Amino acid sequence: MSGPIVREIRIPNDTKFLADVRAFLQTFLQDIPRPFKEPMSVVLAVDEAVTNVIEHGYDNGHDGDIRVECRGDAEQIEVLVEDWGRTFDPNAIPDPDIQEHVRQGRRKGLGIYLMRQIMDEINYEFRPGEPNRLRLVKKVPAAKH
Amino acid sequence: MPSLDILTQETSNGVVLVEIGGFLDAHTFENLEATLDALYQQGKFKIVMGLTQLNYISSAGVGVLVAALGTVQAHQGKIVLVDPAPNVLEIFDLLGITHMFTIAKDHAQALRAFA
Repeated sequence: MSGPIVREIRIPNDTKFLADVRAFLQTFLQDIPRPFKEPMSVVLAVDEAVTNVIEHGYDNGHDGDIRVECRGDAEQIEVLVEDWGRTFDPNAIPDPDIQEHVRQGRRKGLGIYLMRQIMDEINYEFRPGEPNRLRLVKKVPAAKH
Repeated sequence: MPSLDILTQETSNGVVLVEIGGFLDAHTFENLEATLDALYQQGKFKIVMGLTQLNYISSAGVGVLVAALGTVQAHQGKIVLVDPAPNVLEIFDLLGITHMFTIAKDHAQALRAFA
């Protein structure tokens, strides 16, 4: 049996590279053993995660890299987002009241909520001297027979 | 590099058609925001937003539409979204906010919403 497919992309700290991350994800999701029916939701979750790193992990305009590693097998997809900036644990942010959020016309704060709706696991790890690691896991639905 | 295309056109009854294409993410949302802000400054709060050519939207883009909804409603205006792709609608569904927006299948239906 072949092992998991593992691929990585590294981008500078700039939102103009989000499209590259999405293209990378889409290609990866086509190549895994059991392709998703709805890959764009996973692409969106990772887009949101990387956006958060750019917006909160690094100072505006500050140099910094973000590494995205994808690992996929027949059971699950695991995406690791690594950065060397400030710690930002999305699990520390509570879900907003979305309806009230929209009623107030508030623009920000929806990305983390979307990540939680889409992914099955979100784990954040911070150790001094090591990159911050955000691990996103999505279980691949079992094939119907 | 593909990004966000924005075309605006004013109709005879004061409704502004804003057609967007490409992707609306954390990099491109400010372009749409600036376009809408310019309309508001002209006192234009009746907007039809054509989404047929929009391939992708993230929360940053949804945020612009959410803010637009609040702004136009505060000025007795309206915004109608036209023909969003399934993956665009999916994000609205994930957020549970689809019902808060007026969605039309084509421009004719959208313009009737302002009659």
